[in-house]
Amino acid sequence: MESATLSSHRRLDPDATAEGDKELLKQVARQDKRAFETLYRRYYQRISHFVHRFIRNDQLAEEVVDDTLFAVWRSAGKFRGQSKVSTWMMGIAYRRAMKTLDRERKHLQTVADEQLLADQADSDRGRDPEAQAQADTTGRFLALKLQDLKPEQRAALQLTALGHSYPEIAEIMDCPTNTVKTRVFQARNRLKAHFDAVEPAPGGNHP
Amino acid sequence: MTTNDTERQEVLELLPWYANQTLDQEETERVRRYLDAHPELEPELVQTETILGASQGSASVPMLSHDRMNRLMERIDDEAPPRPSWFERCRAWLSDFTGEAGTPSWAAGAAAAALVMAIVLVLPTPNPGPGEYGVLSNQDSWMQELVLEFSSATNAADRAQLLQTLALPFKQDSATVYRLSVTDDMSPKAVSALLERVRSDPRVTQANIALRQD
Repeated sequence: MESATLSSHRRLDPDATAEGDKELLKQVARQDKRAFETLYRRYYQRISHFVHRFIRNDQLAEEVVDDTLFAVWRSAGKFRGQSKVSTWMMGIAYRRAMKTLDRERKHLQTVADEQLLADQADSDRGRDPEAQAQADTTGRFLALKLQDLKPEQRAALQLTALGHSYPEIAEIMDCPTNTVKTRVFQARNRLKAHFDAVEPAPGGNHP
Repeated sequence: MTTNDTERQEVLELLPWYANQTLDQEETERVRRYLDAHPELEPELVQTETILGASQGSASVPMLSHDRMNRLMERIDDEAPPRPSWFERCRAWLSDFTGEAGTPSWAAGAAAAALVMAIVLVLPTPNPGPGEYGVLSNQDSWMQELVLEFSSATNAADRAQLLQTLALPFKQDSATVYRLSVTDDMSPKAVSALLERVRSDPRVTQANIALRQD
């Protein structure tokens, strides 16, 4: 399977302008497949990254990503233009991912832990042994503990990590902005408790 | 909670978006000023960035592939196209009729409205059955009349003006009393509405429906 690591980026794709996306979506609403392919290429990676991180099961995540983009094709005419197209698409991805999580909750927990450990081992090959050991501990630990968060808290945190503003996350998750802030704050606090147990005290080495 | 505590809490809540640089200018400056004044929060910012990094993860996700996209396009092709709405079918019909592609919505809407109006005007208005007027058994021999009594303060011009707007045949009983023939094809609802209208006119002191045998 082709794979790539999504390098950290804090902003949405700079090539995608909000107005350009809206124009593309209007064409998609008119059943223009070329416009849809452009939109697909532009947002596949972002949607895929979020869904894979959120669901932690490759097969299910792929289904959710495909279903999301299929829903974008079918629902393009329903887009009201009150938000960015990217926010609207991520909202569809989030709702579908949540439905899948609810359905598969028990099965996913066992598989997620195993997959997390395997993923971390794959990605850490070739790094400085000492740094790798440190990163192993922190990253793996945090990543495992992410799964302990409530899905809504995890989603809000992951969407923040993907570079969304809190008003955008509020639209994606269909909740008030204060709820987004609270969810992320609570998620951070829960992870911080574990983080402090692993990391040196502030002022020490950080990965 | 003191004001300082509230400020601190608000800044802490904004830290993730300060870290991912998506705050607006005002909020960014607010957080920056607070962090400058409270350097003890620097580790909080560092931890927040670390947590965001861990949330994003470093493991791989599938890259976009042509195979995957082609499979989705096949799925789209396999799906039956959605049935066009009534409005879209009108627009398509109008485009065929005028031979012009891409008829604007307003034109399609106007054409549809004109068509509906034409249908409504051409179709005969159903006559209400005799039962609708109800009470009397021998409906045909009785006529409904609207009996109007004008105020003595009105003059002939005032009375003529109202009678003209009502547009019903009338007979004058006296200087201020008029009898207007309510036509057979007026529904009870229309008669009630007429009665209410004339009763609300300040020139009228009394208005009633009466039945007169023909």
